Amino acid sequence: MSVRRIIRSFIREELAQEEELQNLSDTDPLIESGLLDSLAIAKLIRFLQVEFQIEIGDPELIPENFATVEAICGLVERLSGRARVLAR
Amino acid sequence: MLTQMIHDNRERLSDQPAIVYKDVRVTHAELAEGVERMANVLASVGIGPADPVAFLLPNSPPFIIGFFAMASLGAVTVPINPQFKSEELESVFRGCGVRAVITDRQGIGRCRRAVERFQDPPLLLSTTPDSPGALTVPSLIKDHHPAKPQSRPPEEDTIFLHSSGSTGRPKRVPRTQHQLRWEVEILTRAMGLTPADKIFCAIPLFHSYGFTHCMLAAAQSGATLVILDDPYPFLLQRQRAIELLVQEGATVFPGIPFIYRLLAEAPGQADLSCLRLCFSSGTALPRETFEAFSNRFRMPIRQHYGSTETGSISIHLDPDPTPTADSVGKAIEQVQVKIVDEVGAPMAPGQVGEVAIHSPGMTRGYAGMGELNRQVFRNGDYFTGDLGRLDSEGRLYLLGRKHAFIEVAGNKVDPAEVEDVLAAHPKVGEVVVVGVKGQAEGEQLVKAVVVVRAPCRERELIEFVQKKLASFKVPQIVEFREEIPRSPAGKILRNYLMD
Repeated sequence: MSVRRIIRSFIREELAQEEELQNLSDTDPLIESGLLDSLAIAKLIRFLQVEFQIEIGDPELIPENFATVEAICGLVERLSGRARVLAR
Repeated sequence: MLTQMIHDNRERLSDQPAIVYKDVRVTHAELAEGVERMANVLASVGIGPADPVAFLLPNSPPFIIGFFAMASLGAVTVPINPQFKSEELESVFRGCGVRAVITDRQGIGRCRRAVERFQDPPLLLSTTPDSPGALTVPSLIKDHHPAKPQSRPPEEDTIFLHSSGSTGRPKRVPRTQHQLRWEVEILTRAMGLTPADKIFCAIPLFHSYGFTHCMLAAAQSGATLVILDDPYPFLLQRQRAIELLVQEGATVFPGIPFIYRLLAEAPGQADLSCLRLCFSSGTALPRETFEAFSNRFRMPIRQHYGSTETGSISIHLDPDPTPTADSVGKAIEQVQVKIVDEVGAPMAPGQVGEVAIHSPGMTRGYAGMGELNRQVFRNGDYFTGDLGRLDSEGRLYLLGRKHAFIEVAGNKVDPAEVEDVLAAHPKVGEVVVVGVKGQAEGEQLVKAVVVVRAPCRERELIEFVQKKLASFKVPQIVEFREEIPRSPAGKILRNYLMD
């Protein structure tokens, strides 16, 4: 499964708060819309660290890095150095 | 009565900022005009004295303008946690009999679902465009002139807050204009607030703590309210919070331990010497958070104690709070704090008992709960359900609760509410919800211990709760057991479930 799908499916299945999330697109706002709260972000960070073997440090903890599925993929890509992480 | 504060500020502080929000500065004159226009908008859609209107809004100027407009009409604001799901909203709307709901584009979908089954649904108003099914407040405001200020009777209810209270499950707490005005006058005096102060608002206005210590305190004193426009999730917003504190030169910061811990651990450099007063409420401030914040920013956090039922009770204002930082301070003016035993008799300093409060600002009682009111409002006192002791100088120390809540990232979760939801799942035979230690001192995770009737997966139960309750209430751990441990008398042994 691609990184994008893994992240999308984790958000939908583990963090889903609203029915709207079931049709989540890669550019839907996650923070601005209030879909991810502090607890959800903490869970997501733990998941990303384990799943992709990356270390998400304090400097990365800014809204821009978690704003959308696409932004999260970008964060994982930067931290893991994977070249084709966004491949479907 | 409350709206008078806004009109007084217009007279004396006209062009000074009342609210800083994003890149907008609302002056006291603009705030007063906004309140008067909004009052006319509400009146035009049929809102009048004693009508309850729900607010499902973030911390923002519309919340503040809306509240004072409601107060000027004698209508009753019902502030609600913007994270609530549609089922929770429906329950509050029905319980309070709301006539209208004011929300925004984030809340409108949930509000529409919440009112689907109403025979006579409340009117939906939105403060933002792109809110199908709702009247848009900004366009209505343009069409309305400011209403002439009216004086309202001090004894009329102006807000219905919701409290888990001393015995669990949300209860409606009416408070009058007089009670709130009294509280905020005493509070601003105790904190020495002046128009030169800038109050940093990162805690929710829908909760009594943020409502009085941020919004009403700023209005009463003429201080500027600096709103962190999007405080959630605070984990990601703490850098912005620090930038805003510095940029605006905030002087007063009412917070909660969760926020102070995240700020103390934030990366980078920051100079918060602009602050003169930080205080913490909501739950006990862990000593390590006090020390981490104090060591980093050279600013002690002072504990404050209050309840939705009584308003502010005590605040730690010792010149040097460090030696007694575990205390929530001494009772504020005109408030009496007693420690009482099982039969309600006063206990001596140093002895541990239940905290009972008498305050001129306290509610008359929970709405529609006669039996409970007889239990917790007795002889003019409110029995808080908190356990504590007083020292010889009158400082109060809190030592726990008779009824256990779970503290999740700054939110209180009532185990009974989560148990009620899980018990309705067809595969659940019996369920007990407890709090287990989280990663940080003083923070907990929600754990459900379940005895099932039929094979069932953890995921199935979590999703079931996710659909019905705000995310902070959803169990992070589900443990399946053959039976729930009980004492010989049949009492559930919760301590055995908390590993």
